[in-house]
Amino acid sequence: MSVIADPIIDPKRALRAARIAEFKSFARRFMRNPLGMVGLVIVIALLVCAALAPILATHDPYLPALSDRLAAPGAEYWFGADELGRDIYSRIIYGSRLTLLIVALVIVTSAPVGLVIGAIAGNYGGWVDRIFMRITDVFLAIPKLLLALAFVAALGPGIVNAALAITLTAWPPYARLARAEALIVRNSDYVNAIRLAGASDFHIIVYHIMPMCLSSVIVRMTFDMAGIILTAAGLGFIGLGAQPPLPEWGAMISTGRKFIFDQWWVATVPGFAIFIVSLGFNLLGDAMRDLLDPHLRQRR
Amino acid sequence: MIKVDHLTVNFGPSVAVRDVSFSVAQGESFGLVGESGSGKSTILRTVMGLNPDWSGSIKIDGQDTKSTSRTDLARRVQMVFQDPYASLHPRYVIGHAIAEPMRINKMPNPEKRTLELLDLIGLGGQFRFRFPHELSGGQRQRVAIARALALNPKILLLDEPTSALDVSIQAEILNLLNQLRKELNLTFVIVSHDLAVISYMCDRLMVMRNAEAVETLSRSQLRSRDIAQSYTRELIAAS
Repeated sequence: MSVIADPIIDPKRALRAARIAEFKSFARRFMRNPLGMVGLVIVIALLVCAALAPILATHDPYLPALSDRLAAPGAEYWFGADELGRDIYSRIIYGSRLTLLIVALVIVTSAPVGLVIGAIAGNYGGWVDRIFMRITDVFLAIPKLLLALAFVAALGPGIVNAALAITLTAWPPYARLARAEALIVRNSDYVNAIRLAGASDFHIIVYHIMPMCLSSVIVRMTFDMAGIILTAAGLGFIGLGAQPPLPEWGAMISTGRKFIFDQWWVATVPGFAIFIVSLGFNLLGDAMRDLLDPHLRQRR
Repeated sequence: MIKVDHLTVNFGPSVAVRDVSFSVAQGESFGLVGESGSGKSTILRTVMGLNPDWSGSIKIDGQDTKSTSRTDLARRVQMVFQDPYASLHPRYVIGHAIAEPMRINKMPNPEKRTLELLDLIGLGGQFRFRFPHELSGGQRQRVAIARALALNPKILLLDEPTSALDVSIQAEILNLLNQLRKELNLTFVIVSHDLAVISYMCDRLMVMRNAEAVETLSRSQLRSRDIAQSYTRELIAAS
């Protein structure tokens, strides 16, 4: 049994206890969703792979062993070896780092930009809203992959440029989402109450509107991660993302394509990695939406 | 304390309040009664500056609200909203909600005053770190009242403060409000469609219908049925 902190004597601990209690009830509801748990396990496994890559890998992912070119899966090479005799299993493990790096770069740049633009547009309404939303529309009107391709072609291939290119196309949905929430929240009584207390627009947007947009944004973010992985792999596949010898999954499929009929594992294994990780993020997103979406959640 | 002259409020092409005038003295409790849509809540929101499109004049403490800054106004008048389920931010503990107006206005010792306010409204300091969803409707309305009192306003505007609450809780909240009015020497403007609430709480009241004022009565006039307008009689008969 935990000791309940006295909120008058020890306010900091009591506040933390209140937050932990909130989180526990969230975790309990999350655990009731078995598919969501599968997604969470996959995502955690990906994080573990990335963090412990040097320990988990059995070979050096970059060191060629020409005598073992295109070796079949077996005891030495668990998932086989590629056209330079590099262990595919080790490359997949190291590749998880690149995948996570791209996802993190895109999310860190696109979600906050979209959130801020959407919250500002929704809060002020009127011509501010119109200008911001028309800019958003312009970016939404251009096909995602096409804009990313053009951007990478202009800046040169590479992981960071690929991430930037995806960001350019990834922020508008967040702006839309945040604006929709902000439009609802800005007229609510609790925002009115704090406006009557003399709060500035900045204070209202940052402390009252944004926290309410956050749950939709987090849900969208989780779903988006699957899409980002696919786009990044797509860019890698056509040679505009990560460059060889980096073990990026899309680039690995691309090299394996030449051997797909005789040595199926070279292209199939990275394909499976992409498939499983995308599935994991989608399942996690589904579960998060069930819990966080303000339109699905019933009043507690 | 409050003087409203020839107030007209428009929502686009429709008129929500037409040429309404009244004044409220210091320490008085003034009621606005009428059926829904008669414009009584709109008057309160306009006084607080939540409706942009209005004409006429609103003076608080002799100062025109149009020329008073928002923070200055906030220290004189505060409002309690109708629905306590919608008026508290769901992500913040109630101690934070009560302290926030004080932090915004840079008042000293917000923590200590939050505890005092929680005691004042009869919840106590142990409620400080509860989230709104952990409280009942009556408790939430108490928190909303505490937040409104945080800036030490002299005037409290109450927009149907009990209509979202259970009947058994209504009396509690009304008694709390009466007690606070005496202790803190507050001026009330109460909006309600419930004549029983108004006659219990208010010294004077104004009856409204279709965006217009019908008549103004004192409590003794209401009790002795000294009523001029037939609409007011209908309203009393209906309640």
